[in-house]
Amino acid sequence: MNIYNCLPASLKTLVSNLQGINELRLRAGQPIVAIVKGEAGFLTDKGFLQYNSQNILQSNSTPDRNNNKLIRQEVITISQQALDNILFCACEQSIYAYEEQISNGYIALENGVRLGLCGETTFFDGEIRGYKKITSLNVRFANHIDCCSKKVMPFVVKPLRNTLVISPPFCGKTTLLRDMTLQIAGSGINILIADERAEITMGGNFYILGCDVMLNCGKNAAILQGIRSLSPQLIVTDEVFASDVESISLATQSGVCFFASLHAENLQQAKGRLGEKLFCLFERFIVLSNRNGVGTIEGVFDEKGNILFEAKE
Amino acid sequence: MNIIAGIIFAAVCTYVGIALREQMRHRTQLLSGVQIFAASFVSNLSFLQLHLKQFVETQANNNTAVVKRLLKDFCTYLDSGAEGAFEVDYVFLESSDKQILGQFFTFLGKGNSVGQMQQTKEFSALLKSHLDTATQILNTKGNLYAKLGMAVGLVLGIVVL
Repeated sequence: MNIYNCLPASLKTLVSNLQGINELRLRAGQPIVAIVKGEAGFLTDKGFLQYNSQNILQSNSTPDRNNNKLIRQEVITISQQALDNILFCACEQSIYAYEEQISNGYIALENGVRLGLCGETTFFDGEIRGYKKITSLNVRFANHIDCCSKKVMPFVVKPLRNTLVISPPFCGKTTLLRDMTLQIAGSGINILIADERAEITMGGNFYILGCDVMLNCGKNAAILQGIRSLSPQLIVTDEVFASDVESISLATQSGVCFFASLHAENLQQAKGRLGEKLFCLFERFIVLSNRNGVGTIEGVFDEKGNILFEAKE
Repeated sequence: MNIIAGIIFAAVCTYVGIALREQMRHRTQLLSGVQIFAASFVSNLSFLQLHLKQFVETQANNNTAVVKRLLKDFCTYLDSGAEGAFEVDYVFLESSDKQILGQFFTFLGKGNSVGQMQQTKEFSALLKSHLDTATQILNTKGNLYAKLGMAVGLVLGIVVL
């Protein structure tokens, strides 16, 4: 399902006119926040209004809220009913077909768009089973940037190295992974993309030559199934966790290479998050930030932490 | 002139009798078609999990005209955002039929697979009693109405002549 078809008509027109939109944050009864080209702001009747010291909205409880009356009148808010309709439409009126994704807190849509969910949950056996009420939706748009991995490719191929892309959220990890895969694809290497949230392949629509794609499937299951039946030489997957250690270890022991990504700010944090065992499986670490815009390459490190490539100021 | 009037009376009464039987037949066809649809939906939930509209369209293509019409109407309801209740309003249905069919189609897609499966099974059991009644009425009264219509038509025709 295309997210634009699920938005209310007025919002659809506004959002489709925004060039370079990265995220749309929809909260019941609150102003709609958009992130465009890495900058956050409100959506108003006239379009995108970037945050600045003058237009930050005050909460209803603050006494000086009237100072921002003008802005408050201009911003667009979204109702609870509209959020429910967006979710139901995103599920193609078939909640049952998306229950696994919903219990994981997101819905993967066309073109790599991810709809993040938040609200009052139904909790069972220590796991989220569903939502009684959705109060926030986070629409995240995927962008592809051609050749953004050009600088790092010499450090991860010939021979192919287990590579971990590290960055805080919203710094271009997935975009870099996608382009790295694209650079290698077609060279005769069997590549398996374990695309749990359908972001690497942009909802399965991004055609990468010579790749097998396991879409909307848990990483561990996709990796194990892939090793058993597809004989991959390289597995590409997004956002690994310490809990993925068993399947990744098994794959690397079978001679499979990995390109993966992780939410962390630096190598130390990454090591802490993944644990020694999983961290040691990787030979190259690419650290990204948004210091000079989304996708700034801070450095490429080897397994000993030596810097191989450093960003120039 | 009398001959023509006699033929018209006979034809109209026969038509009314047959039309009444057809209505009963349509009711039976629709209820049994929906029952098969519900069983297929349960199996869809267990394995393929096709999206609702895709599943309904597939079912509509392989069904009788009366069921096809209902499923097409349901697709239109889905296209319009599936807000509010889905209303089934066919003259050949009893009001209780309309109510349970409306409830069943309105809840489709609005829950997880376990809930959908349980409710569909409960609906099927409920629908079965409606179908049994409809079949019984068709068997006992359907042919009677058709024959009665024809007989009344002939009698009126003869009287006019």
